Amino acid sequence: MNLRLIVRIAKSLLLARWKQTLVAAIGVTFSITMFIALLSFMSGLNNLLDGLMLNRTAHIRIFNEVKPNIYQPVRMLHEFRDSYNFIRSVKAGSSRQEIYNSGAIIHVLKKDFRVRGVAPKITAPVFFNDGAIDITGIIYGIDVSAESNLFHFGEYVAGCNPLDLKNVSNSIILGEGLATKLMAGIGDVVQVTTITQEQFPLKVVRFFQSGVQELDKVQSFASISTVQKILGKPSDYITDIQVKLYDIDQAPALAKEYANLFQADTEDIQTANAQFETGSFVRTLISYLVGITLLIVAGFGIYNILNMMIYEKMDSIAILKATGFSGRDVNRIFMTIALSIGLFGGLMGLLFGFLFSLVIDQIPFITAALPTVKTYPVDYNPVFYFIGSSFSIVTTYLAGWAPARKASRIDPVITIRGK
Amino acid sequence: MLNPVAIIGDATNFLIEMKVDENDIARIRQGQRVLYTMDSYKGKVFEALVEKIEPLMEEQSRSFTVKAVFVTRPPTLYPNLSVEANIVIQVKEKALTIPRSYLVGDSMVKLSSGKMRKVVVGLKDYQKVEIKTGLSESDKIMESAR
Repeated sequence: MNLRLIVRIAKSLLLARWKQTLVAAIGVTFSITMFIALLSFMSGLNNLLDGLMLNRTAHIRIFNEVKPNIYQPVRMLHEFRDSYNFIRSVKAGSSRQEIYNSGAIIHVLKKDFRVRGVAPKITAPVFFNDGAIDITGIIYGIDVSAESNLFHFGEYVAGCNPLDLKNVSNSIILGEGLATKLMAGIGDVVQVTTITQEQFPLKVVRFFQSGVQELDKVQSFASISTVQKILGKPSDYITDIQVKLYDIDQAPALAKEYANLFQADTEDIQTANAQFETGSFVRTLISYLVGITLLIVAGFGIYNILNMMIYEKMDSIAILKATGFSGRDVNRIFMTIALSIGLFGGLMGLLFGFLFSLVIDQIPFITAALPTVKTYPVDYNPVFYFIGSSFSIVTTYLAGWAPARKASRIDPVITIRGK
Repeated sequence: MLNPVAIIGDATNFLIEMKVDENDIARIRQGQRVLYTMDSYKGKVFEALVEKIEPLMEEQSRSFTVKAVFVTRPPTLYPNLSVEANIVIQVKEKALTIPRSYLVGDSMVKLSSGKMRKVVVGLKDYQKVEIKTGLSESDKIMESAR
């Protein structure tokens, strides 16, 4: 039988019971809408939350940790090497915070094809002087443009022009909480005292909000050269090298490689923030589960309606078969019915899902912690639309399969004789 | 900061200065062997002997200053280079050690037969414990259940 005839019969069957068809299609539409909206919103939220930490953290951090040396002299001497040595009160040796040969390390890293970018950093613990009170804080010396490109530094600076730090000499970006404590406004000068009791005036150019209040109470940023000046160190003084990779999954392996190569301590992002990855994975899993459950429920709806239709249209099917339609044709007719419900319901679902995401995207979401976020985050990832549409087809196909098979097996002789 | 105009000293004669915690100072004796490594001579071990224990404790760090003279030394030295040193307090050949997790309480081990036995322990750190008496090489012991 030709396809057009089958489609026409399917169409008239669908339209004969258009209310039922509509209910089935609405079921699919609703589940796909919720699936798309839920995943877009969840994924947007995940990206936002992960971004709070992951965007701002280096994939690999190279630094010198103050810790006891594992290669104790007694273990290196031939005489004692094979014996067990009880060593008491091992102390951290005279390790320095400064990275040895930092210039050459940065040069090598920049040439590495796996590395997206390198940002040097200095950590300087200081006191901020506010009248008679000293407030402890940290000034990070950063390369502003590298930090903005690699770690979205600019997004966390209110007013969004972190380059001021580079252009104004002896300037500082204060954490929001710290600025409140110091009662410092933009353009004010704050006094800092280093651990070696040197005093230094710095001009406030911007405020910084990391999203983590505790950090904002102690953190502040200045350019690398300013911090080197405060500490009285030469221009190759660097305490941290932050590396961002193209592929974040390579971080643990590369961290080990660099630790060997540069004879320094390294830390990879997976070790430092393992719980973040687990958190976002579980959230994604839950939203997928909910979405897929919705689709399966819609699939059962379609199954029910098709079953009902077959019982009601038993006579018509018998007549179709009596007039020369084969079992395969009848099967095809019912599969066409199921798939068209899935297809139209799914398409409408994609459309409504998109509209719903747009609505969510407009809901105001203002938090002091995130200066650049104004509305709820939504991720318009085409993958969700692809999964949604293919899943709607698959579920409706499976839901239609059993009823269609049943319909194709109806014996016209028995049905008509029974009347 | 006040900087001296000049520092007078013999640039060929050096001592090693070590900081020893007050917990350990009672074990240090004159003439004990010292093994040391230097940041400026990576990967090499040199030897020295304990010469003098400064009797006054530094209150801030709760530690004593112990001075040592060189037995073997690197060819060139400069003042204030950093040193990491181990003082050898005791060398014991054929000592019996068991993993620390096999020790029950302070001085008990569980034999494989399930019986508990009292032992006398010597040195211990976080990994191993020296057994002075109460256990022999042929005894089988079990890890204590937590």
